This record gives sequence, C-alpha cells and structure tokens, in this order.
Amino acid sequence: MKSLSLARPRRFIVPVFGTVPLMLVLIGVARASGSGWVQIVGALVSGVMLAGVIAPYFILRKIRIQITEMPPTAQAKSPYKFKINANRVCRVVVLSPSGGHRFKRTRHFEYHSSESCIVSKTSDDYLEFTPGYLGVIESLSFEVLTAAPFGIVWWIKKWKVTLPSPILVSPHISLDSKVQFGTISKIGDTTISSRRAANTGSLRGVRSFQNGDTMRQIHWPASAHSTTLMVKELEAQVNHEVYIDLRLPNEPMLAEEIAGLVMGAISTFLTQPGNQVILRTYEKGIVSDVKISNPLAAGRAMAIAYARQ
Amino acid sequence: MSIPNFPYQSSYNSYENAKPLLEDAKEEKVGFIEFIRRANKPGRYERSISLRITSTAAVVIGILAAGTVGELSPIAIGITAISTIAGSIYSAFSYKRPRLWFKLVLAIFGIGIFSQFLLHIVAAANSGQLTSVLGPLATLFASVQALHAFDVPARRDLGFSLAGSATLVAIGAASALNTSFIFIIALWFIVVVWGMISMWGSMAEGKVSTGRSLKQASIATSVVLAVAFAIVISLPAPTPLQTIQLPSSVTNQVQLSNGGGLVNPGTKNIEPAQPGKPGGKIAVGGYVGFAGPLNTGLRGQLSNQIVLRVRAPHPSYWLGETFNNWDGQSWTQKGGNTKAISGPSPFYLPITGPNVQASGVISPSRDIQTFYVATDLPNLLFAADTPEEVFYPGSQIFLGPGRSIRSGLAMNSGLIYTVISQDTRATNEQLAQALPQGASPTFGLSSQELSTDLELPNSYSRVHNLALSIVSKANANTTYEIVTALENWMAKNVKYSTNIPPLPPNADSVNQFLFVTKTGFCEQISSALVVMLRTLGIPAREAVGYVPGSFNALTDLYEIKASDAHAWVQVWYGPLGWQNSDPTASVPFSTPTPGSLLLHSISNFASSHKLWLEIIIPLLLLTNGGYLLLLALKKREALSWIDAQEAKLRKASRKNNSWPAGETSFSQRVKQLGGQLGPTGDPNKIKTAIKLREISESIEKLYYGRGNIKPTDSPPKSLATEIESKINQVYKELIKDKGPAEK
Repeated sequence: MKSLSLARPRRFIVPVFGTVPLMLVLIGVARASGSGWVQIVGALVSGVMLAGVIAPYFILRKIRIQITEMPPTAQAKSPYKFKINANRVCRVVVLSPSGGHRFKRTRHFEYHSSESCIVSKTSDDYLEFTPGYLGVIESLSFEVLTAAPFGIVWWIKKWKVTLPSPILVSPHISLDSKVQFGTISKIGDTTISSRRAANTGSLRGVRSFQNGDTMRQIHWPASAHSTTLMVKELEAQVNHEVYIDLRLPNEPMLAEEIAGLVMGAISTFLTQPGNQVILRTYEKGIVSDVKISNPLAAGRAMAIAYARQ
Repeated sequence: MSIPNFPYQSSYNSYENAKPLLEDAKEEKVGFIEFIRRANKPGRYERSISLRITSTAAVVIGILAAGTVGELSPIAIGITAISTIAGSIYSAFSYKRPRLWFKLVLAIFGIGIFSQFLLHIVAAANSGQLTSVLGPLATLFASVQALHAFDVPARRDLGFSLAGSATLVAIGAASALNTSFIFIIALWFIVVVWGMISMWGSMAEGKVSTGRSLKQASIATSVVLAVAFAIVISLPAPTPLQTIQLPSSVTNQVQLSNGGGLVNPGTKNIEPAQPGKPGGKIAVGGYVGFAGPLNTGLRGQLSNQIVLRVRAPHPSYWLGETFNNWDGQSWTQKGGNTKAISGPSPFYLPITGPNVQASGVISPSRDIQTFYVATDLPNLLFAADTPEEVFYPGSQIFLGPGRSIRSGLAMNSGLIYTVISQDTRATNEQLAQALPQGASPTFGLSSQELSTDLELPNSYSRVHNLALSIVSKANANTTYEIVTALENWMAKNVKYSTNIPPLPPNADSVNQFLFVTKTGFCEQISSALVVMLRTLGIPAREAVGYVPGSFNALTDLYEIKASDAHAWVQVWYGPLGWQNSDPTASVPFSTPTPGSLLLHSISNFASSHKLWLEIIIPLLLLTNGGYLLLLALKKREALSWIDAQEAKLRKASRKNNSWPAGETSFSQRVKQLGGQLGPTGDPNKIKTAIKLREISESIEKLYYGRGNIKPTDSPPKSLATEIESKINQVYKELIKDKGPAEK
C-alpha cells in the first residue's frame, strides 16, 4: 500500500461547531453556579468531542486494506467486483484504477465508482467499479474512511494498492450493423479482411523491409525502383477465418469505440461453429498475431496491446 | 461493407462526467439556503437498538441528575422520564408512518413549554424572588428532551438526545453539594460513551464486533478521561457570577417561637460527662457550646457527619457566637439584648465596634458566603468576619448578644442562607503595627463593654504571674507580641487531646489546665489564653463556631463536619477591632500513638487526594470494567483448541528460537514449517510439507471459513490428532536440521 495523501477530516464543521452551543451552555452553568462538577461534565463532553474528532486520525493511519479475491479480467463499462478486507472496520471507496500512462491521463472519465462499502477484518466484502475503457489495471487507488470510535467525524486518506495480478480490461462489445465481415473493411486504421497475410498466394502489395522478413520476400523490382528494400505482401484465401489488423489510436475514448466495434464483430462472427479470427496487434516493438477462438481471448489481447502500445 | 465515418459521434457524453462519489460531493457547491435545507433534511431511520437505548438512558439519567438535587420536582421527574421512554419506544416503531400533525402537536407543546419558562423567569424577576434559573432551565430542558423523544427517527436526532442529556447533568452538577454525585456522572458517562460507540457501530453497518467494541470503549474512555482530567486541572476554578439575588431557601419551614432564644437539636439526646463524673465520656453529635453557656467541664466527642456546606471565596472561621463572661468553668454572655430584625430578605445588620475602614490600615472587602445546612443545627446563623447583610428565607432574624445572629426558623437540613460580610481580618504585619496595649481608646465600643471583656471571677494571680513571666521573657510590648508570646508558650508547654479526665468538682478549668493537666482541647486552650490576656489588661473573649472545613474542589464548597466545631479567642486590637487568634492551632497532639499518627496521615492523604480517591480511581475501575471483561474473555478464548496448539508450538519453539519474531498465526507457522521442509529435497520431508500444506489449508478454513465455524471450535478429532502428530514430527525434524549447537 502506498499513501497518496495525508489523512484529513471530512465535513467536520457541522459536528465540531455544532457542539459550541453545548459548550456555551456548560460554561454558562459553570459560571452561574461556580460548581466544579459542571467543569467535570464539561471536561468529559470536551474529552468525548476531542477524542471523537482526533482519534480517527490515528486509527486511520493503522488501517491496512487487502484485496483477497479478484477476477483476472474485466470488461469496460461493466461493473467489476472484487473482494476486499481490512484490519480495522472502515469505509472504502474506489478512487481510480491505474495502469501505466493511459489511465493516468484520462482519470476523470475513465470509470464509474460504485457505492462505498464498509469493510472489516472478519468478513470479506465486495467492492465494485466500472472501468471506462480497455487496458491493463495494475493498481487501484482507494479512499479509506473511518470515524471510529465515536462516529463524530470521518477522516479520509487515499491509498494506492498494487494488485496481486493485473486486471485485463477488455473493450465493451459494441454491435454495429455497418461493421461486417466479408470484404475488406476499415475502422480508422484498423483493417478487417477475410484474407490474411501469407507466405504464399497472390500479391497484395509491397511494403518496406522490416526485421524478421526473409530474403525470399524481397520484391526486387520495387526495391530497385525505390532504392530501398521492399518486400512482397502476399495473401491467402481462408475459409471461415477473418484477419484483423488492429491499430488502436492513442485517444482512449476513440480506441474504446473502435475496440468495442471490433469486439462486437468478433463476438458475432465467432458464434458460428468453425469460424476463427486472427488478430494482429501492435505492442511496443512487437507485432503479434493471435488466433482467437472466443471473445474473451480477443478482449485480453486487445487490453494488453492497448496498454503496451 | 460500408466504411464508417470517424470520428464517430461519441457515445461517451454521459460517461465523461462520471466521477467518484466522494469527488462529486467535494466539488459540488451549494448555497446557504440549500445548505440549511440539506442540514434539516430528515435523516435515514436509525436501526441501532443499542444507540436508541443508550440515548434514552442518557436523557433519563440527566433528568434524574437534575431531580436528585432538587432542581426538578418529583412530578416533573416522573412525567418527563416516562414521556422520554414512551416517546423513544414510539419513535422506534413509527418510522414508517411519519405524521405531520403529530410533529405540529410537538411543536405547539415546545412553544408552550418555552413560553412558560420565559413567563416564570420574568414573573420571578419582577417579584424579586429569582434566586436561580437552574430550576426553570432544568424543567425546560427535561420537557424539551421528553418531547424530542417522540420524534427521533434518525441517527442525528439520537445524537441530539445524547448531547442534550449533558445539559441536564450539568444542571444537576451545578446544584450538587456532595461527592456522591460522581456515581450519577459516571453512570451517565458510561452510557454516553456506549452510545457514541453504538453510533460508530451503526455507521459501520454493524460490522464492529462486540469484542472490538469493548476494547474501543475501554481505550476511548481512558483517553477521554485523560483528556478530561487534563482540561479540569488546567481550568481555573469557576467563579460564580452574582448577578441575581443571592440564594436562600428552606425546604421544611418550622417556625421557632422562642423569641430569638437558642435551640440546639444536636444535643437533644446526649448526656455529656459532667464535672466530677469520671468515665462519663459519651459521644456527642452536636456541639453543646452553640446553645447557652459553654461549659468547659463537659466532655464529649463530636461525629464526622457533615453539618454545613459553605460556598465562599476563601476559608474563614465561621463564627456562631462569642462569650465575654467567665466564671471559672463556663462561658456566658453578659449584657446585651436580643433584637428582632424583620424582613423581607435581605436583612441588614447594624455594625458595632470600630469603623475599621476609617483606621486606614485595613480596606475591608465584601465577602459573600452561602451556607447549605446539611443536618439539623442550632438556630445560629454562622458567618465570617463582620456580617452586614443576610439573605434568609424566613421573615425574621434575631441579633443576639455576643454578636450571634439567630434564625427565626428551625435550621433543618436543606435550609440555605447567604451572608455578606466585611472582611475585616488584619494581616500579621498590620496587627504587629497596631497600637501598644493600654493605649487603646474604645474605638466605637462603650467603656462598659470593654471592661466586661477584661472581667475575671478572681484575681488569677498565678495565671497573671505566669503570663507576665512569659511576656517579659519574650520582651513583648504590643498586643500582637503578647498574644504571639503566649501562643508560643502554649505550643511548647501544653498538649492537645480530647481524651482528658473530667474536671474535678469546683475546680477552675484554666488553673487545672495550665498547672495540673497541661492537656486539653480547644475550649481549655482558648479559655486559658483569654484569661491570661485579661490578667494582662488586654480585652479578649471566647468565640465559638466552626473551622473552615475541607474544601471540595468538585462542588466548590467547604464541607464542615460536626467535629469541626471549635472555640478560639478574639482579641481587641483597638482601631482594628476584634481579631481572631487560635492558640489551639499550634498546640501539638498529646502522646500521639503510631496508630493515631497513621490514621491522621491517611486522613490527610484522603482529604488532599479526594479527586483521585473519589473520582479518578472509581471512574477508571467503572469504565475499564469492559476491557477487563474482554481480557477475561480472551483468556477463555486462549483455551480453545486452536490456540492451545499454537501455544504448544510456541512453547516448544522458544527453546531453539525457531518461532519467528512478531505475531504469526498458527496456520501461517505451519505453512512456514512446510516451506522450510520442502526445499530440502528429501522425499519424506517433501511429503510432510505437502501434508502440512493440506493441514494448513484445513486450519485456514477452520479459522477463516464461512458458515457456522467459529475460531474457537475444535476440528474433528481425527484431524486434530493428525495435526498434533504432524506438529510433533515437524518439530523433531526442525531440531534435527538445526544441529546440536542450536538445539
């Protein structure tokens, strides 16, 4: 657990200053009577108030929360539930997930938080939040609150908890009748086609030489023409197989839209028996082709790809 | 396939505004009206029974606190307490049926109660009978709390009840006259703390366990008591404001018809030992010197019962009366008549004697003392110094001879009166500068009065010679020097004891004391000093009353016991008037026994550490009872099977320090042992490690599992036996691995 802020009281003005009339009455009675007993009563009330206002600060500092159970995958815009407990009774609310630069940049619209939850040592309690878009969540920030022992003032502190294992957030499934498989279609830079790149087959086009290309792939006439090494891109007809070249933009909302549409298309396509999808994703320095047989695998691949882009 | 146009119309419009709930609350700005509206918005129904019970109990205790000290009538106590309980029950069950008309009725009642309070105060103030606002305030607060009890659906309302109970307890505290009020405060405090903890329990949705609650209660009360103690010791003593008429009241008015004569109810059933009757010492409750002659031949013992409580700015001798005529055994008052002074209160007393202020030596200040009669007393109105005004509940008082103020009512328990006196006490330096003896004119007293204060039944030649020798030895010239010399002599040559033999028949009390027994108590010692002074031509008289008593910081009152009755000397200092002199104060105890010294020390400790003995220690014991209970429960829990196994393993491991530092649960430890065995490569050990992992999982399930399994439950017998044998096996393995040096 990493502290993100100092503990501070929350909405303390009303309870603290609400006792002022009470203390004025006590002072008035003490002055009118000259009785030490009234001072004792006043001191006890002050003691209760002081302890009630300050004690949560010290208790809050000792609170440690622990995530005890968490599903490895989540879906954007769908509630994600996980189990949590704490060594002392406290109220916990998810403040924000984080996982690399993408979540940090767009913090304000990346998720919905659920109701806060009281957690304790003896029982595991569920907390949930709704991730806004695909990616990998490596840590969660929480607001932890306590008003122990008297319930007078809530004290609040922000903690960041590194998750035992990252949560892969797949995109939400967005169905759009305009996005269909059959011919080559393009969503932004992403291409969906029923043909995929292959070592044999008809020429689809040429491109610049990249590490990993073989000499056999070099298109010598084009290389001579352009004075740089160019390679052939071939494509083969594949029955019941769709090739997707997924290129997600950096802008998270747009990326989520595109990924959602692709997910929708994949989910629909994979409902037919025998169909499969080859998903090409681009991570930092890595081009990855993955054979996808179910939407979950697609979501995981997209989440990782987007996070590592 | 058509190619969609990008960018799409974003479907995130509503999504963009999504923020954490607390962020929402933080960033939202509301106007003042909205703030008030929200503050008054009815809260959610409070389901905590514990909080409801404690808040009701706190209010009822507050009502009883105000009632026990007389600020609420028994009828008011009954009505408000029953209404509070009934209202709380009604509130607890009526949360689903909020009724507007019912709230209106409550509001009308509330306005009625407040109007009655205002009318009462105004009427009392107009008639000059307003002695205190505490009684009407108590009625107002108790009634408001009783009404409020009918409409306490939410947590906030119950919190108001808890806070409101503090005002009722404070009103009770303001009028509390003795330390037994601590029990009410302690009870109220415990209830309030429990209520506050229940409030947190409710906020925590009931997830705070009872054990945790007890621990929290114990720690919280200790902290609160420490804070309260720090506040109390750092606060200055409360100084009462005297903006309204000074207190005087009577609960049981019994008119005396003796025309200002003295009545001493404390001596009704006593039979003090008379002169010439050895062995006749009988316990005496009331001081016989307060009614009629002061017979120094009587022997008696006074009780430690509190007879008076006095609220005063500083300690004083509370004078009852003085005597000027000595017959060798008894003091009586010679001359002077009893004069009636009619009311209404306050009663103004004529000042006799010198105008001390005119002397320019003393600037007398006004000294206000309020006396609370705790038991039946003689009808003397005790007062400090030179009384000027008396606030007294009767219609008539009497000014008797010997400067005694006498009550026209019987001085029964519960009677309260206030005296304003001129503080005419002179300091030792001022007394030392007073005129030398013999040079004093009469200074406001008649020469006949002064000559009475010099009269003696005989020449007392032996006493005179003794006094002269003392004075000449001390080279004393002024009145102050002479008085000091004689007091010093007494301090060295006589002893104090209440256990002295009876006075022989026809013996002179002073001669017997100075030349035979040389032991006596305040009456013998003061009488001897008066006679010695008179033989030297210095006017002196015998004074009786009470010593200041012990100061109770909690009630801000001087508590005067029957045994604080005292006799001392008043010496005439001319322009400074009569000044007190107490020779007994410097006289040592006669033959003190170790036991009596020990008792004396304990008594001194008890009186000087009253706060600790009566408040702090009982409170700590009371409030930490919960924690002690928790400890006891923990001890019981430690006997559970799983803890017994852990204790066994800990004990075994202590020998070779194989138990890691810090708190480790049993199941964790078993896992660790398994981990240690696993990497050794020995197939048997790996097998053991695997088995241990299974066992630890079983234990974890037992410890942290769902369902009805409690941590204190034992596992099935077969599993228990298996675990025990495995633990023993592992322990043996560990011993083997550690090698001989570490065994």
